[in-house]
Amino acid sequence: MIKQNPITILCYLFFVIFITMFSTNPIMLGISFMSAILLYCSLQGLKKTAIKLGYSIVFVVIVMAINPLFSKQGMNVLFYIGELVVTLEAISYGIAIGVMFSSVMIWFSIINVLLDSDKISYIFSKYTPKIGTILSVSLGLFPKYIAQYKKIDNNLKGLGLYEKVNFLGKIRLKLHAMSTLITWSIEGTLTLSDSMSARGYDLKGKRVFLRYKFNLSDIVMLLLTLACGITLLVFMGIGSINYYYYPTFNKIVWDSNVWIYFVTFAFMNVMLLINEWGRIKWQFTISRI
Amino acid sequence: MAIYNIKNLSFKYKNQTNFAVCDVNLELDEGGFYIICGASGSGKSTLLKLMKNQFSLIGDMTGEIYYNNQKIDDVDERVLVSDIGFLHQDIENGLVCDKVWKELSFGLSNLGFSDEYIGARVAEVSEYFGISKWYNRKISELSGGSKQIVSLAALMTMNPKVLLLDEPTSMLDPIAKKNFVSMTSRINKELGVTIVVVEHNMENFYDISNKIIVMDKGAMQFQETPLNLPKSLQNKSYAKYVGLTEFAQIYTALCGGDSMPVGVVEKRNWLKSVLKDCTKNPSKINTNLQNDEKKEIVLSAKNLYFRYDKKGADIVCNANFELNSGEIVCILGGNGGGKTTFINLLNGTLKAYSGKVIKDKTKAIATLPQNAKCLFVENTVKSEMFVTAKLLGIDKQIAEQLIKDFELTEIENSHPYDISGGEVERLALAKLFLTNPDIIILDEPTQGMDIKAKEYLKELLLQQKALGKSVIVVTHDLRFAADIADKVGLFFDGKVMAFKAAQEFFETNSLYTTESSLLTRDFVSGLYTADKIIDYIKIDK
Amino acid sequence: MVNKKNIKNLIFYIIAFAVIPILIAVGILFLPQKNYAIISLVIAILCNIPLLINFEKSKTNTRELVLIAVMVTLATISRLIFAPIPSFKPITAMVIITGVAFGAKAGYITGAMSAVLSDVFFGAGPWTPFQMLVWGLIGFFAGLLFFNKKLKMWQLLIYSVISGIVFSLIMDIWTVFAVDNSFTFLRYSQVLLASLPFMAIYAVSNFVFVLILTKPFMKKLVRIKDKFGVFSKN
Repeated sequence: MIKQNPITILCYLFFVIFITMFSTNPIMLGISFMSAILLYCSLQGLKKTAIKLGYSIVFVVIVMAINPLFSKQGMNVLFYIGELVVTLEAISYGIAIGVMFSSVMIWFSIINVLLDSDKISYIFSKYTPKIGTILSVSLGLFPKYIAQYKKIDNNLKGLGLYEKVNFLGKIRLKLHAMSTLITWSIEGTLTLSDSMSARGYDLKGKRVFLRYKFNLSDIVMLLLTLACGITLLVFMGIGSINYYYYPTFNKIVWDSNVWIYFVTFAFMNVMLLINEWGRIKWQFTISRI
Repeated sequence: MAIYNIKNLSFKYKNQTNFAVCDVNLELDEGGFYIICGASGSGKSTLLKLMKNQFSLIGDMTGEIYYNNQKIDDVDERVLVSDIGFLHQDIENGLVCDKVWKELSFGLSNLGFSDEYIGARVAEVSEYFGISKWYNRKISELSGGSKQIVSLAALMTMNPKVLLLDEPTSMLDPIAKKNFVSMTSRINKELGVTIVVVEHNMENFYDISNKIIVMDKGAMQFQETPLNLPKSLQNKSYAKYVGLTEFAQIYTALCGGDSMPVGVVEKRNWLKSVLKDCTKNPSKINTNLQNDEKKEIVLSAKNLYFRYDKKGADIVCNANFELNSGEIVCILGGNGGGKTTFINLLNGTLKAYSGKVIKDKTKAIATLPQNAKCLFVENTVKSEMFVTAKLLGIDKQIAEQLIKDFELTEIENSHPYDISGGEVERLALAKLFLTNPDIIILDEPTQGMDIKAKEYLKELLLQQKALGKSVIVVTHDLRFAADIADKVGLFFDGKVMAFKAAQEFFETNSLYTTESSLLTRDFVSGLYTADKIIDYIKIDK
Repeated sequence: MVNKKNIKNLIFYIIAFAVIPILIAVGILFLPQKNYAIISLVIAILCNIPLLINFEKSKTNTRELVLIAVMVTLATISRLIFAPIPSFKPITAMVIITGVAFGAKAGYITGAMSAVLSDVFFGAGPWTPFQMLVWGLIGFFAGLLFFNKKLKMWQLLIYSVISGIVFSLIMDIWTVFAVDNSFTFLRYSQVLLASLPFMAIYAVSNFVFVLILTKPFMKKLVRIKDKFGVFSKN
């Protein structure tokens, strides 16, 4: 698992996703998509990555096919379907948007892998202890309630009630089961809150035990993230890498600005991957043994 | 030195006429191991909660509690939190967090210690309790026994001087109970922590305690060492409901001498000397196995196989079972062994992927699940009965009749979560009898029950048996099983093993058996419960 | 009654509901690229922050926190219980009832945290901040309109239907931004038309669940409120 502090991870992923969503430039989108897939692969293995890739391709194809329906702009007309004009620009734009959203979705899957429940409640607990407590207690209650609901449902089944009823009756039984769960859970809150008070939750000067420390590598990575992110935003503000599909594709002028921009973005995208390189190498060595 | 000094303490809950705790005077020494016992409703849990002084008990208190010679109201709240650990009976709601590491650090972080201190302290306690390997696990994945050990460890991180344990083992199976008891014993002996346990079945705590405090109807009767307790209980009306061990119960009933024997050999010799004078052959008075011819098979299972996941292991594997009319069968076995799954196959909630359950079609079957309280949904006892009747399509009058039969009329307007443990069980049983079942299945019915409630259930089941109905009880309460069962089986490795008559079962087993059987089997047969020994000697005299 | 606390609350709400949208509008007007998806995402995130902070700063005792945690868990689980029937979920109704029983702040936090808890178990996405905001606000206004007042069922039912429609509308704005990355009313109306059945299911399910759950649920919550002495004021 990634050893970075959750705050660093969150900050990093926020910037990457933010900038990816702002991009229409095909090179930028390519970089983002490739690095997202690589990182996802290093975290989840080949099989899951292949599935993700499959979904992405389907999504891109769908958006590509739909976009010409709405957008009649573009200079290079490919063909007509009845009244409908299909242009190269519209199809390209569809692909670009498809890739952009696929990358964002993969980056979010990476968030789901990297920020597990412990790390999410860490982020909340650190800045908003009360909300952190709510989340932490809820996370504990969730599996308890599921088990309890199954038990209630089983009991109704044991009474033979599910066999006799139609669809509406089933909904009624589900509501009955939920109502039972609600009674049980609400009555249990007294013990739960007493148990918290008895162990000092009401005391003044309480802290939250935080397992994740901010060490040098976190600080370095956070600073790099901020530096890259701000650089990219500034260039974006200048508008030197704006890319247009309509009325037709604009030419990218390969000046220093654009180079700096692409290199910075590429570096930022693979930063976590480099950080993880040691672990990945180790994993492959193990698998070879 | 006295760590607790309680003077003229009384407590009355709001809207109640009787005192829950009535004029209690008590002194507890530092480093002692105390048990507070008595039937449910005797005020023992309330007393324990008052000693922690941080619970929301709504009512009026008079008298004083001194902790370390200081009035408990004046004790600093931080001291209360760290010095006095309180363990709830309700395992699920006593635990606060989702992960073990959070639970262990919860108290210390509330006290404001640094991360380094908390980390070190939690590591130390985890090692002491042998739970380091659970550190990153989810609490929901642990068994009931393990959860209770985690709760105890979470209290110990704060370096408490006193531990108050409110029926800590009532929800645990026998093995987990023993583990928990030996853990508390270690804490008491090695760390000098004062321990106060509230229990209505003392069992394993009995032998390791220093003093036993007996309560009845809110009043403290006396405190006594475990060895002298039987003598002090002579001719007391509540003696039967105190929750003694089997031997202590026999010793009390037979007016033993001053000091009760300790150790298996001494106990056995004492029983031998008492039983020596008896002339009758005990197996002749055993009436459990009569009228075999009249019985017919009402429910049977042949070669059952079941698993939850396609790829998972078989939970039930080649299980066979047979139930006759007018018969009580007990199925024993540890938690998580698949007993509940097995009865769900018998009652048709689950379907086996191979094998058959054959049921007499004319017979109705009803199941009472474990911990029936959590199935209540309504705001009053009465509407609880009516709603269930409506759900089942049963006439309202039957529900009304059952309210009378199960002595629930007095509390019919109370909230089901506010009534006592025994009443909860009666309500659950009343709901069960709405369908007028011929086959009754009970899953762990005695969990958390006091002796009185157990007696009630025993009477009820024997009545049903006399009416020709069949009962299956899944339990790990060996004493209860020995008291009521005609046949007993041990659920192990996905099947019912050693399925035989109760007497044979208890007399051939050497670990899964009753204390009475172990003590008497060498010189007499048929006396495998405390009641049987007592009755036998009394009849003879 | 106007006191210091009320003023503080008011400032927070003004920030949440007025200042941030204005800032965003300025952003839209002056940024070179009009990327609506990201702007709407930023709005959603920023709107949540003052409301979360406002809850964090409010005086909430242990019992209230635990009750809220219980409500959050119940709301999330209700999604699972009705998993077989698509879109027909009691979660919005649960959030509304919490708001009515415990007040606006508790309503907001229950809605918002239900979204977070769901996403811990079912996966987060760009929609998370939107769900937090929409469910949070549904609970918030339920509390503002109905808390500590004599409950008129028909008003609550109208509110529940409206919140179903609003939920659908806002989630659809997001869909348009997401797929199109630009906002035209033509596109919006096309998407709305396509999602009309869902909107209807949301509205109907809210109506049904509020109708069935409110009475028994409120009884239980009022009992616990009296027993605990919590949530007496907003």
